[in-house]
Amino acid sequence: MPSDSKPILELRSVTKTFGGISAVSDISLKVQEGQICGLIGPNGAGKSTLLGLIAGSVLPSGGQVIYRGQDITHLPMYRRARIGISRTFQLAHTFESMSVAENIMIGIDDHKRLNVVEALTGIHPSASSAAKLDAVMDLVGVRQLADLPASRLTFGQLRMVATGRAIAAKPNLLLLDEPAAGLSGKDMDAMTAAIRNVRSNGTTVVIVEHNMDVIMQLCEHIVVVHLGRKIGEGRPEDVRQSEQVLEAYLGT
Amino acid sequence: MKGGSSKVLSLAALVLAALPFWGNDYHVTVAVNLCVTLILTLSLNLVVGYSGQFHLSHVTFFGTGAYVSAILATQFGISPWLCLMASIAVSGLLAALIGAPVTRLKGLYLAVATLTFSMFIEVLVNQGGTLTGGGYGIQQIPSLTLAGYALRGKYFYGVALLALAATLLLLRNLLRSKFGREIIAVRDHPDAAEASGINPPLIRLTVLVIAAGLAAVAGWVHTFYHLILNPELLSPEWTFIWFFMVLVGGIGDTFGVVLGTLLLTLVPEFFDFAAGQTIFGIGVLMVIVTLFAPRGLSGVIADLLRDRRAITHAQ
Repeated sequence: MPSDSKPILELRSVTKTFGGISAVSDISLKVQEGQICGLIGPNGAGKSTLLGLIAGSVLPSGGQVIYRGQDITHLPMYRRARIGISRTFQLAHTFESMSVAENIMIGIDDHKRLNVVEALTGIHPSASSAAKLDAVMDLVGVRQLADLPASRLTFGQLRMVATGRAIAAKPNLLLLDEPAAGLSGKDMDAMTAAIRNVRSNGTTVVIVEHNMDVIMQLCEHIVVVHLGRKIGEGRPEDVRQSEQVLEAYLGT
Repeated sequence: MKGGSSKVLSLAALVLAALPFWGNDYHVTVAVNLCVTLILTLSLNLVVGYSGQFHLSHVTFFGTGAYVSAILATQFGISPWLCLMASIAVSGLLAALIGAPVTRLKGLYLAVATLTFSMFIEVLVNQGGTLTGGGYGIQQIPSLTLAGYALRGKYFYGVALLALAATLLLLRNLLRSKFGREIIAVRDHPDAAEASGINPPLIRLTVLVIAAGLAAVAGWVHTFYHLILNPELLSPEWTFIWFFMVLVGGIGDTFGVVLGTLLLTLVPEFFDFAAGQTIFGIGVLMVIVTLFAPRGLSGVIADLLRDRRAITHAQ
């Protein structure tokens, strides 16, 4: 990936303090379009806060968030979702009283329009989204569970459904918060395959993850954070050998 | 469960539709009041059950619908049919006004804020002078007419049934739509809903406005059946009674809410309870339901059916 290509996302000296404690301090980074970018660091490093700052669930105390050349620093999360930023959470956060198919439909639905008359009369002029729905369920391997309520799924299945919901929105930028945490080997393979598939369709991916195998396999670019600061970045092979990174992880 | 509940509902619809042929005036009054109460519990359930907001001002939207209709028809001579539109509009607007500032409040805070609003409106109407009739209410409301015929008594009953049927149909459509999914998503996980592009406060507010519009329809039916308004109908205690009907039947479940409303409306009527006895009975029932059947009657029935199916399977 040439370094002068246009970044889809840019953080400029972003800082977030929670009552005097800074979770993220003065972090700048660029994510190139079409990349899979990994965010790594020890527990409490500020990775999830950073992801929240990009998604809009956390608003920064200072600095700027630029997405496709647009300043989105103060844009609320739902507005960011509508311009193509999709995310998952550390806990799956599926809608437990809905079926698997309905959960994925929330990702497919266009939430910009709220047509109450249409909803009350039951007249829906829009074409059926059945084909889209099936494609997404196949991609994350939950099609055979389509009609099951989410409350009856296993942990791994919930994670696949939540990832499917985020992918279904056809985002330009997909933010994944520990997608592989707690997954079995088979589910893990399905997850990495799904992430690769999404990227091959042109989506840029940012992953927060503890599983180094997954990170090293998937990412072209890795950003290392420690105690709220960026302590290194680069290609996987460079990061693996960086002394600063080893120090942060191993505490030597 | 789905097949069973639709059979029960069809049977209930048949009994209700046939009522004027065998019932007397008293029966018709009970049935009209039942239709009104069902519209109110179903719309309240949309807010507290499906969208998960503990709004305690439902009686205010009902009362607003009733009063706007009565005032317009009695003092301004406006056609009762136009009054229906005006009632829905004013009640919906009031819901938007009270709803907008409180969409970010949750649980008890929301309950207290909306209950206080409800009490405020009750006082306002009681002090409303000649416009609202103050403590005397409004009398001599003109009847609804259709093609020159006044619809009174059992002839009005058809209008009440139609309003109830329309409510059931609208709610069914709503819950099956994209908007229905958005309502459940916001209730289950507001953060995840927002991450998918849904604006939770807007969804909550829209649900409240729709429920207020339906409550206004109930108010309109009440006004043009009884043709007299008593300010007592604005008492916040009504919201609690409807809320208990929803809880006893099974919150967030249309069939359960219908069942709970039928039970708590018809049983006191059948045994001719005094108002105090009814409240006492509902209180005792609430304690029992909370302790032994937190999902209400529909939850108990679903469990029983599942057990029976399991036993048949085993045999």
